[in-house]
Amino acid sequence: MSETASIAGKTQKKQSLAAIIAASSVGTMIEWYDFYIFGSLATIIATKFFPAGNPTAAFLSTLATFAAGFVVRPFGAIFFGRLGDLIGRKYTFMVTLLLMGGATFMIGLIPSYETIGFLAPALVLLLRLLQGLALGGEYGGAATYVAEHSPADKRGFWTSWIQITATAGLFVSLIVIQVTQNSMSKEDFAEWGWRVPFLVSILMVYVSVLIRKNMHESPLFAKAKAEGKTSTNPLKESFGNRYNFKFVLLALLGATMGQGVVWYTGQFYALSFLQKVMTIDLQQSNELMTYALMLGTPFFVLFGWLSDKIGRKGIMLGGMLIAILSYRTIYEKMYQTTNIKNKTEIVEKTTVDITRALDKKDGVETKDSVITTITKKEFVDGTKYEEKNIAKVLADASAEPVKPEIKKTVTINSSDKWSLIWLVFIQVIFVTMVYGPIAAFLVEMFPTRIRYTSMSLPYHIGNGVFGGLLPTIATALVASAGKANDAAKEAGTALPNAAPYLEGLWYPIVIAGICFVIGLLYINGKDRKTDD
Amino acid sequence: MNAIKRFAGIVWLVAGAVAGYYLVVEQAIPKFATGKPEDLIPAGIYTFILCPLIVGSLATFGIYSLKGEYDSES
Repeated sequence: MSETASIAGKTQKKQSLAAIIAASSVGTMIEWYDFYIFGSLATIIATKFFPAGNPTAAFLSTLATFAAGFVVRPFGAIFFGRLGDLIGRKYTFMVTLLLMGGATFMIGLIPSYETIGFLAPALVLLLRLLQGLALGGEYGGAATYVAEHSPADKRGFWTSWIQITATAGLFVSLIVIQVTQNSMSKEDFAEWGWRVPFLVSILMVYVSVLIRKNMHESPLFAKAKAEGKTSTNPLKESFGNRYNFKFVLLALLGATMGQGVVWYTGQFYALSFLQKVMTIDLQQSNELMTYALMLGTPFFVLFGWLSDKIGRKGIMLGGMLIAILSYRTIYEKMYQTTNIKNKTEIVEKTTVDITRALDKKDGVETKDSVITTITKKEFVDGTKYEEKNIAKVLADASAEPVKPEIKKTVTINSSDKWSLIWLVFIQVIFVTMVYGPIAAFLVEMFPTRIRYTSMSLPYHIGNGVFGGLLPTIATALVASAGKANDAAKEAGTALPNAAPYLEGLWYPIVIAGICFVIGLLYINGKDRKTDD
Repeated sequence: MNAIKRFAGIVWLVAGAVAGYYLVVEQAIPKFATGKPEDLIPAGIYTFILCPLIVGSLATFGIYSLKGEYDSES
């Protein structure tokens, strides 16, 4: 790899490394942006394309969520990885960018379910699958492209800019959505404004394509191609060759699997915990998440740079270990920070509003009643709490009673807000430790001729499958702990789980724990020399 | 160190089996049982995609470890 500069000079007009990083990073960030806006606007998309109570729409909705997140990404990694090793990095990650941008733009144009019926969710599903495919191909291409331009002793630093893009994409998606929301009424946003973040994507992609178009092919790939050393069958060489396949497995089980769960915990589970478990106001929770991400993002580059000095393995495994040891403490602290049981209530400010109305079905009043009770509380430290209880009273006394719908919202004070920003920021630091050096780590594990294919698959299985499973499994663990407590309450025995809300953390703790042990035992940094 | 790596191969094989049990018995079967479309998809993905992927990778890694494929040369 030390020949990189001279090869580049001979084969192409020299481009500054900063320009190469910028071109690659901006495109990758846009792909992440495109992927995240679907998730961030999932609630509103559901109302437009996947109407509640419709089983076919529910089926398509679930398929869109699972298929794009878990199943399609690894296929995209294989498909585009192979292409990248056959025809080149530059053209391949150009295709993924266009595919992602085009799919995102089209989602913004699809008429709603009310207008075109089932064609609407079917088209959304199709475009979401294309997004997943494109994402599966993009990352490996960008990381490989940058790494193959970088000098060996600065590979961690330069590739860390690519690592920023996933967080930056999430960050930009939150900003674009917030700006769009703030620039129009709630009704307009719900009616048509939600389409704007999707449509804006095409402009970003256009600019990125213009920049990328002028970039040259990676010097190492160009050299391999000129010498006739590129692979004719990258899939067979990557996964059919036992010697290479054992490194693919090691990359997955000793690095990307743990990285995936730490990444998802810090960036997504934290937000979900703030909103669903701690019931913090949506806007406040998004805001504090944005601050934590903004403060933590520079650390990707710091740890990438540090990995060039002290090695990649120590930083990545160190991040996993600290995360494993501290997750439960951090989440308990988060939970208790806004727990109103720990706060002093200003009793005289408590209000309870009860309204009763006839229930409606398809716009027609029924004999059943709906009693809405809104309880508002204020606390000495400035925290506010609102509980909305919607109970249905059925006219038919013999009918099965309906469980009341309860919605709780906590509005936090400034001090608690900064405490939570700090606690999420710590988790983002873990993310930067495991994620900052990983592109350089993966690139160095595989030779140029099959690098794109070999590194893309473990990355997307680690992130997409192990990381992507986190919300489902963590939620199942919390629910199971809650059920066990309920059963114990009924039986009058001691509760088996003192803090059921923390039980979901066992998933990232166990997965990162296994990954830590495998990484510690099996990765020694001297297994393979791939500086070709 | 090589002896530890080889012995740990058994642990990865067991971990694969436990993961398979958890995904199919704890996660997929209860979802199949509900019969709801929104449960059938995750159940199918757990059983036919994730389970082979996770169990397969852990088991293969365990076998390679046991056979000394990851032994250090020195």
